[in-house]
Amino acid sequence: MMKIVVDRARCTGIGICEAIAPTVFEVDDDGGLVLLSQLVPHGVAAEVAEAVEGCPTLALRLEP
Amino acid sequence: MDLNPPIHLPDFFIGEPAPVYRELRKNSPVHWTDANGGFWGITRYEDIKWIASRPHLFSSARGVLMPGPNIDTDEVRPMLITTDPPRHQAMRRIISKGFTPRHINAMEPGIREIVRGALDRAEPGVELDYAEGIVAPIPTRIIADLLGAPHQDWEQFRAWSDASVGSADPDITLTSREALGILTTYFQNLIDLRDEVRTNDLISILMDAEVDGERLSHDEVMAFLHLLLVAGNETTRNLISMGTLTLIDHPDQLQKLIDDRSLIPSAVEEMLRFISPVTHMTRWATEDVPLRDKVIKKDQPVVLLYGAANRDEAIFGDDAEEFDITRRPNPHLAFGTGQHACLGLSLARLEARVFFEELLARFTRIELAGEVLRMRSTMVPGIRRMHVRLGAATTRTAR
Ligand code: SF4
Repeated sequence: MMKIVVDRARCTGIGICEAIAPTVFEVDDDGGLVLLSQLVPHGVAAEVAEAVEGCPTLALRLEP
Repeated sequence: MDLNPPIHLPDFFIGEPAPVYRELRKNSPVHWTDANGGFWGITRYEDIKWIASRPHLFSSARGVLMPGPNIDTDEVRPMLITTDPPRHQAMRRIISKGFTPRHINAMEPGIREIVRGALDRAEPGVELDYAEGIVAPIPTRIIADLLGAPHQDWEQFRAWSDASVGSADPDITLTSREALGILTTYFQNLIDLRDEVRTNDLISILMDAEVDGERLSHDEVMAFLHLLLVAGNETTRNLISMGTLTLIDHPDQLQKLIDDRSLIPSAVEEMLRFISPVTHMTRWATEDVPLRDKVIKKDQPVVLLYGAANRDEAIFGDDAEEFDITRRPNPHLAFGTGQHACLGLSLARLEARVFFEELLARFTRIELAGEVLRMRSTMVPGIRRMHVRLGAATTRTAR
């Protein structure tokens, strides 16, 4: 299963990832990104991949 | 083809830039223009992404507008958009709080109400100025509301915002400097009010915000407010007006959308790609950087032409020049990319989606009724006036 890695130094907390895959990403009230799941859950792999791809600051990465 | 297109002039953007962009992508992707002190124009998708994700090589601190006669690069206001890392990160996080998807989604009912109110002004079959009368007030109201400005002031914002972007439009009588002055006084009043009582609007968030343990300076708060007002206003207005015009120009796509309104979100993405409401952002090289067969010299400006990248056949395929509301994937750069990617993108998407939902729920005939008058601007060449007749396809005109 793939693991989601966030580069906190890059993330600007605008939540494009959350808009694409809300079951996995959530930006909290302080503008920090919270991973609702460390691993890519079943059934949403495509969304997560799209979120990783769509992050404008290249803050997201998938690792085996 | 003439490979010295006048990229520095508004007429270039309100004309037909697409064929020029195609030519440049192919034959001169890193293209030097002599005018206005000289700048590089970048047209390929991959190159723009590469530059935008290297803020240490390509700074925003000297301004993001392309060089022009009215642009002063020595006196750039300290805005979020002109701040480089690491300070940019910290500032950006503060303001992002007001723009998270959850925060923005909570605005949907309010936005719908504002949109409905605006559409109430349209009577079936009666010609009206769609751009000015219906579309223009919507984003202004939404952003003013977000900032915490009282409703009765909403209309004034529009004039000030129009003038303060410094567009070369002859209809605008206030100079950009005058408009900025008026806005500054106005915002100062709002700040003074919150000195007494804090609310939970964006102005209050800014006043309480700290970066590295220090409050934002007065100038920074001011610049933030101004940036948000201007950025949230012209751009979305342009997206909706130009989006409507693009649908009118592509009747098959309009019909498809009317037949299946669940396509609205994807149609909005395609409008963003196809129109690219913000034509460019500029960066300044901090050292000599080789790019393709050229070398960008230290201190030279680099203009990222989003509209060109968004038609790049290497990314969007052979039909890159076509308007297809079902296009997927659609990784356009209409909101820019990198650290400075548009903060308001969730809001802009929401506004456009709600607008087209409400529009098409009422009207299924949208016809142009006269000439379209464009805004003379190199950055957001929107629509000033566009007369349109709206009607419901099924209802015959009475009597
Ligand atoms: S899209 Fe990227 S920058 Fe934005 S919140 Fe998600 S990880 Fe952070």
